[in-house]
Amino acid sequence: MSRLRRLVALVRLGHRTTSAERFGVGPGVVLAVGAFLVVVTLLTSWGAWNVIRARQERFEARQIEDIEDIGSVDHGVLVTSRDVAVGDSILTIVAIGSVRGVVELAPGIDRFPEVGEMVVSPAIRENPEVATSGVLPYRDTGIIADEGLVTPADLIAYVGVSDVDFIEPGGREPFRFEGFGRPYPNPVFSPALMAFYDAFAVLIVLVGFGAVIRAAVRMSEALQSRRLAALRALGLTPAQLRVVAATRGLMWCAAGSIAGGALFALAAPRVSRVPFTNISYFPADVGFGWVPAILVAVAVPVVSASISSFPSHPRRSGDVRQRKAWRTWLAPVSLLALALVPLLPSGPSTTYVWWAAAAAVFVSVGVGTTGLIQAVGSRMGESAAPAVRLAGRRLVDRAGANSRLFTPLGALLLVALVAVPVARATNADARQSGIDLLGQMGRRVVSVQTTSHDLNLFGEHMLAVAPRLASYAPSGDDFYGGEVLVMTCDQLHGLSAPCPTRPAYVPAPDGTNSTHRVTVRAARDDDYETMEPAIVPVDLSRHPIDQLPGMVVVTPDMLPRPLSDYEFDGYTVFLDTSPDALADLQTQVARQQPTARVVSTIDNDIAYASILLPVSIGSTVATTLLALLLILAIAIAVMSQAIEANRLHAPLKMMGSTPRFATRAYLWQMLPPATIVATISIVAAVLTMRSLTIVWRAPVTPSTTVAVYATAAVAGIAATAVAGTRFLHAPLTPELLNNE
Amino acid sequence: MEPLLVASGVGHGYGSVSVLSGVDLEVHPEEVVGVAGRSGSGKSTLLHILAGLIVPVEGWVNFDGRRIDSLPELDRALIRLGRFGFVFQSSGLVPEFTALENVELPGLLLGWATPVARARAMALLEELEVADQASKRLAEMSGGQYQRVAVARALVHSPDVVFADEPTGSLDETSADLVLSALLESSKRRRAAVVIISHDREVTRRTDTLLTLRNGRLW
Repeated sequence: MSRLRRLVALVRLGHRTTSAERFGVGPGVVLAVGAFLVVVTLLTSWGAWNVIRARQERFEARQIEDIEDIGSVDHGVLVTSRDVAVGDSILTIVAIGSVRGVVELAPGIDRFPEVGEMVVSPAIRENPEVATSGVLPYRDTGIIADEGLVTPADLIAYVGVSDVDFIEPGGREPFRFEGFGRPYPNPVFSPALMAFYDAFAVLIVLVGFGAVIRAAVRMSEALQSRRLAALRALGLTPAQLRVVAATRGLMWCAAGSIAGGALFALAAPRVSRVPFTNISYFPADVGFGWVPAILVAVAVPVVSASISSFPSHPRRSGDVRQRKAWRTWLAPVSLLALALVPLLPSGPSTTYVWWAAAAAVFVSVGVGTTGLIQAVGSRMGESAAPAVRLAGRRLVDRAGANSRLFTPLGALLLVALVAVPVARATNADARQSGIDLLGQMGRRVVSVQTTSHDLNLFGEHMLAVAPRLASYAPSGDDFYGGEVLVMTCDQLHGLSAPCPTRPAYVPAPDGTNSTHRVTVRAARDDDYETMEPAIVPVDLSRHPIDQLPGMVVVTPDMLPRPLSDYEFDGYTVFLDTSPDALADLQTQVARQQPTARVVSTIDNDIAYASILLPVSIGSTVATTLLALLLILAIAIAVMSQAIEANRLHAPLKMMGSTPRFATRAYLWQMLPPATIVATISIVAAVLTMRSLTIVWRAPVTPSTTVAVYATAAVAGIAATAVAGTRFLHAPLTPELLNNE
Repeated sequence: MEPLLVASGVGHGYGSVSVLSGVDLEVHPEEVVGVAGRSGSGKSTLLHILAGLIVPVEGWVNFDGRRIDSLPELDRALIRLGRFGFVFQSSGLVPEFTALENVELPGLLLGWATPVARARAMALLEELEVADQASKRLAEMSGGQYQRVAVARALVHSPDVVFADEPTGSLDETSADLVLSALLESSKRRRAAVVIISHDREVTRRTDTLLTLRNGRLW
């Protein structure tokens, strides 16, 4: 027989086992479901990423030209925008003044509105709250086309206003903007951050994919080990067996992949809203294409078949496994190291030390947990109770199988408990473009922009002074970045001001008599790598040094020692938030300068939210998908353990042991390791969040919802384990007693 | 003497394939009954039915005056645990346990005190000349030692019937002789009947009653 004909014969054999074998349907369906989920996940992730990028492009397309491009008042357009809260919605009103020369139109409109006219998004017309709010007292003359909107639910209006509204305080001629289409922000995320998210998404999919496929293959092996053994006994070589196994995997995964691809192809053009959320998007932004869909649908089965073709070879039951004592201590030592990290002296290296310890902990959860399970199993193996002893021996002997089962459980718990709080914390911090994801980021960036100044201030009550800055500002540069001026008392005295009794001030606008108390996080803004934030209290009150409007005045004693070495330097100030910060700001701004533009990323800010929110949702969705995939993998692994336990218990059934004995042995085999893993994961999660809170100086706290999900997942897994005992109570099948 | 184990009109099959048909069999106390037959003739199936491992499609099985084929699985399990012993070709022991732990297991499951179970197990291992293997796991033993441990476990609780399915099938001639002698002599000492299935002529030669399965029937 030629090699080709032999190969064809093997493929046909694999095909026959797919369609006919008694035990092949179960694991085959699992493979198909796994492939289905993976294909849907891959295509959804890919589509979500397309949507995020498209929304960014749509958002950038309608931004006005940057201030650096403005050098003249002779050409360009007078334009400003502001966000107005209408009920629970934020409405963006772009005020357009007169146009001089050639100006790039805003996307989605074919002309600028004349004074008194407005062009609105479809969502505004459909929003009764906006119509009755009176915020748009203009004549509706047209609708903004899709290309001018970020989402179908975008609430934006271009309104024509008189140039009088743009006159600067003091009667200065306002600057004009070149037009629309400025990249904004520039960039929102650093390339490293984007790469991180890309890698994270890919990792999530691959981990989930691998876990599901591996578990399915494992279950398949447990169910049909005898069948494969029979084929091997017939003379098939391991390579030929791999062809048979790969064919099986290919067939089932192809079915699942095609179903997943078809579902996505049907749903993608029709769905314009993320289920269970208010997030909408244009289906065209998903960028569905047949080529990538086919590629994914082909690649997934091929990869699955490759994994299937290398079935693991579990240790024969009864093989004596030597326990490695050092593994027992790996997890506790790593957890201890993680607990001690926050005690390390503050310094630039802390972050790296923390990451090193965290990496050790995460590795230890995989490696060290196995050692701990074996150690506990070893103790159990000396028990007088036969069921406990049997379970203990199996925990020691079958460390690989246990690891495959419990490592995903630990990963699931860690992901559930840590990932979302960390994502929330980093998302809350990720307000400043170009700053490293994991480190020192501002809290709630607020941009205050007038027609003549582009002020990026960070914080809340500081915003109250923002409109005032416009009247004081000699130039835009003076007020860039919300800098802290670090001064000595002498210098303050040199400015004819008394040495402050308070360590810091936030100058308040005239007439403001605020007694709010806020927290300042000050850090050098020219070197974020070595930045050491300081939390300091700041009283809001009118400061006598009116020559320093908009500045937070900080004395050196306030700052950490590395920072206080600089007498004069620029520091970025981050003020913590308060619930009414945005409302305060909008009120102050509206009162003092109607044309001032306030862009806030506080929760409902359209600008940053257009990018951050999908990323946040994407992270949550990806985490959820990963959790689902891991739960599926764990459930499959639990079932495969139960099936295997049934086989292992066959001799005991034969000699007359009761189902109770088998159940006890199985549960003793499952529950102690599950408890160990859950304990380690929870401790690791708590320590991780505690360390992050200290190292980042940002609260990383457990999410109640996530904790509930995690608990439910663990309960579900426990229920699965208990349900798996049904396999143990199945009648004894004579073939299980056949000689191995 | 009243038969201890009686099968009457036993029939069984797998799917559409009939394996046994109208099988009648009696096993008397202390009797050694051999069942021979070609591969696939239904020998193992018959043994499983006699031992209450599976329920026949037709006929009935009576043990010590009690029909066991109609009993619930749990009751049959308790009979297997207390009244039967098993020796299979190369399976049947718990691989995670040592030889001693395997042999003491029936006693522990029957509720014996651990020292009692251990002492009886050890005594039997010594009787079968595998006491030096007591602390070893099965994977560390030879085939002959494994089977003698299996014999010890089958006999430790002094069963009424020992079922042996090809107990020497995977052994060389010398080892097979040792195991067979151990099985038959120790069973005789404990007044246990033996139902033994084998191809081995030496085995069948040493039985009190030899039956042959052919075309699903005993001859």
